[in-house]
Amino acid sequence: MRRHLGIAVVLVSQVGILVSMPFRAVRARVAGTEIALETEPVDPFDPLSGYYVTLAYVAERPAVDTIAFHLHEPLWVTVARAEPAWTPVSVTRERPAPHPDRVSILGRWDGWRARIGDASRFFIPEDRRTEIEDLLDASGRRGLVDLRVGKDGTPALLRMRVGGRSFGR
Amino acid sequence: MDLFDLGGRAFRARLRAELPRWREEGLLDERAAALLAERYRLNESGWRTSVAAIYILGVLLVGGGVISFVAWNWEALPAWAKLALIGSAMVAAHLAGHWLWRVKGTSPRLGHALTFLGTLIFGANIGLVAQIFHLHSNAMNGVGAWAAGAALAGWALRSVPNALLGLGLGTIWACNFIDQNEGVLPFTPVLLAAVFLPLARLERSRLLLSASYLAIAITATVHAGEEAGEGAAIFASLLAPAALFLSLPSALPPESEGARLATPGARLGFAGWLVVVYVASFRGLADETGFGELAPGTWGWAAIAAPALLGAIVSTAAAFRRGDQAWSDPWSPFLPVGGTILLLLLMAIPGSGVVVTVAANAILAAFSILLLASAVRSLERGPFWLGVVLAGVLVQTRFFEYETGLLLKAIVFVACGIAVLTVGLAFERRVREAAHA
Repeated sequence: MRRHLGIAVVLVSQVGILVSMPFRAVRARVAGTEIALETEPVDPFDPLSGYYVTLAYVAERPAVDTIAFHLHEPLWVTVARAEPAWTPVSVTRERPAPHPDRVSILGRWDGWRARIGDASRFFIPEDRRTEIEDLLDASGRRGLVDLRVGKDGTPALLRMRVGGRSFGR
Repeated sequence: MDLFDLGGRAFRARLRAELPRWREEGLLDERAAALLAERYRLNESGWRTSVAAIYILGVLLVGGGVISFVAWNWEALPAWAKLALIGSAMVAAHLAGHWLWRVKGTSPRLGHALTFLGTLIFGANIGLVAQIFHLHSNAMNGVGAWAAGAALAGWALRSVPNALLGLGLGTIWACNFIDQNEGVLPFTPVLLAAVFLPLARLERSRLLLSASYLAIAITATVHAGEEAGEGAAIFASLLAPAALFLSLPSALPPESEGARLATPGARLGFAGWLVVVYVASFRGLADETGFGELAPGTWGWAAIAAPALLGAIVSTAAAFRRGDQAWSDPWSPFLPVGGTILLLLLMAIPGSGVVVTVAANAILAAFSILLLASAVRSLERGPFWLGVVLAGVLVQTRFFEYETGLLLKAIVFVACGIAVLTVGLAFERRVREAAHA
């Protein structure tokens, strides 16, 4: 039995790490509030996970008179219900009081703007890369992204909509 | 188990080829030849190491293929099917490896390589989970998770390849962590040391030990650069660990297991130490090394550099007390550790650029002289030519660095050339005469 202990530790720990990685994202997908945000994407490459679209949200740009944040400081990006995309309300250090038509998303300050890091990469199949790039060019590099936001402010990306097409599950 | 035994393979191959001829020529009797064959393990053909290298290379390629397959992001395959496919590949590689290595025991090297493949596929799975759930709070979190899984595999399976993967990934993660978390104590070099040094000792792996030295020095230096941003912190964070690593074997009895393990790392330390002192020999760079340049409150890096320097002093004191290494031995720790202490003390003097430059040049010149003197005594070519090259590089660098008359430069370079030709040929003549005698 002892000779199997090593491999059991490896399997349990490696599977445990894999299961724990998406835990917050899965919780947001299951029980979160669905919103849509306007985005201005670009598409680089990650050697582990493949091609992706980097998502920069309009809501991440705070008003000019916003309070000063430290680099990497946690913050809350609050958006209000609107069509077709939810509109920016505020970027604040403290989480705003709950509001029925508003959602607050957890982010960090990157030195220039707020970053919703947990929803900043949308991975795309290599085969669809050119199609998505063409659609982005045709739409002025603007699109919409559907997310679910969990009670703790964790966002989980669902799909990206560009030029009338929808990508993602 | 160390898959690779790099030390002395070329020498053993040469000896294996020479022994039969020496026996035929009557230089050795049968007993002496047998003793030499036993001491240098000449009856081991070396195929085991070659096979292990082939296995590792093979699984690295297969692992790269799996990672590329994941990155391709095949749309036709549903997410659950991808997870099931790549997840079961990981489990299958681990279980098959365990079966061949530890249960059946018929192909331990293939089994070991398969567990390494399992950990590579674990990395691909991390990429796959990030891809499916579009996770990216910080890309380095994935690298950190992969490093943790590989390090766990290294410990749980007592596997050096898994540990080396964990160490490499852990170093990348640690450098990024330092970048993202300014103001933290330099715990990442300590973390790497705590995880990998005991495993290197347990597995008696010189490769893992040397790689751990390198990882600790890199992360300590990156921390110093991020925290203080000044040459003094970076310089001290490189110099002190290099002095520690090069002096460690001297603290131990020469024939001990510990000394054998620490020797390749000591060579790495010597090389690193030489490079850092050479950098300090430039006036423009030495001007940046004063401790006075550091902003208040940016001394966290000293939490690594100070214990490393203390360790180097203790190791050198142990070598001195044992008395089996001479001051004149260029590979003893006396000159480099003494030189390190001197440079660090001089860096505390306000406006220390000039004295640090002079000291660094003097230390390198002294090391070069020790190498040449040792070579003249022992008639070994290695120290001789290293000493000649070091002295030549030092003289030429200074003449290129400082604005001097072209005629003077011409005279000095010609003189250096003549000196190298004269001394080199005289040395080679002495080696030949000694060989004939």
